[in-house]
Amino acid sequence: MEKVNIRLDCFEGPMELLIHLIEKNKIDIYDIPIAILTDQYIESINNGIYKEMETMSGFLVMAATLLEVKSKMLIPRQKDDKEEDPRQELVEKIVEYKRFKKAAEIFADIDEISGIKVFKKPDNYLLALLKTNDKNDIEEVLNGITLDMLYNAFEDVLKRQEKKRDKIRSGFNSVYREVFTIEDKITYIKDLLVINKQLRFSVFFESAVSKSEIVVTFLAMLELIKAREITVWQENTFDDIIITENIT
Amino acid sequence: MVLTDMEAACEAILFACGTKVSVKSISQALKCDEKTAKAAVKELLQKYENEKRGIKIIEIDNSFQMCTNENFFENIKRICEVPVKKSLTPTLLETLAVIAYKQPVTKADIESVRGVSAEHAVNKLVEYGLVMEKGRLDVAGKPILFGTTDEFLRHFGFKSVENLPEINDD
Repeated sequence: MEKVNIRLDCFEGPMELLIHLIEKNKIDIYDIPIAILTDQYIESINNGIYKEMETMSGFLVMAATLLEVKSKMLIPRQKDDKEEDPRQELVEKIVEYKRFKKAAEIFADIDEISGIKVFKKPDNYLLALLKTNDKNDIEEVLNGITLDMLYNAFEDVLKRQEKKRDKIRSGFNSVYREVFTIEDKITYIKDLLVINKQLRFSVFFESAVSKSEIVVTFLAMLELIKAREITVWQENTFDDIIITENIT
Repeated sequence: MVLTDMEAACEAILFACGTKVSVKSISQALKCDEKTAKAAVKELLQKYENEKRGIKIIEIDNSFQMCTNENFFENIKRICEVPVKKSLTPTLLETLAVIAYKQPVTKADIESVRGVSAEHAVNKLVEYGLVMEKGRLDVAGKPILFGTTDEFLRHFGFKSVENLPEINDD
């Protein structure tokens, strides 16, 4: 088998490379020696110049397909096995691609010899005539519509706009920076635990606090649980949470 | 060239309209049935061709349109600016072939034939006016379906998408 030395950038896609190899080796498409073809294909990719990922991925998919077919061919088949030849799908794809390649060549030939034809747009006078016809149609379109109907339609549109307006979001003014940090709250909880053997989570609500402060305190609590510095306990769902210090 | 009244009427219509005119419209204008109208236009087309005139009539999708005879393009170019002919690379031609013969078709279908991304080629073909969106496929993702345009027919001189050249498997 001659050494394959192919510049991958001649081939825009895996099908082109495959066809090239098939023609070069004068392979009969209807009885492809899959092992040889696969080996040559993979060697081409290995020797080829690496292109960007998107293009290469197409080549690799084809390589994987060839390997799959090759491995299927290795499994011995019974003479009367109804199963399809594993090469079938590949052959069909190759044949289809060749057809379109041929069609493209036919198109190319036509393209080369086709001269330029000049076409004219419709005459201005005709265009103007067509436009005046439209004007008459408007009278018919407006027929029967009263001012009331127009007003009601407009009201409906306004109502729909109103529904679309997010009342909550439009109430926002500015965004303030969070002043509570988890570290601060961890220290806070630990300090509290020094004074009290047991803490109730609801203690944190006692002073008027913002929702974010409560959330940060809760997060601090979770951190401390993770660090196994505290134990928490809740008698029933939605009961108050009891926090105790872990004395190690 | 001697024209019958009907053929002359077709000639006037095609010239005045400029754009392609359907056989139906011609038959309405001539106040006759479509078969007669079509015969008249085709006869006119033939006469133009026989006399090797500077103007010719082409057939696209059961419509007819007047245009200049390509052989005289050089003369026209000397007088007025005409757009440069777009060059079609092999990639574009292959993609175009797939679309032409398999239409309507999605980008994914094109990619499965050629094994490469069809994105760039399809976009370019749309830009050239040779290919256009023809609706969406009713599956997940509703991908766009592509097909060829009138311009494609004009450019390659095909009468319709059913009249594409046969491809012989060798």
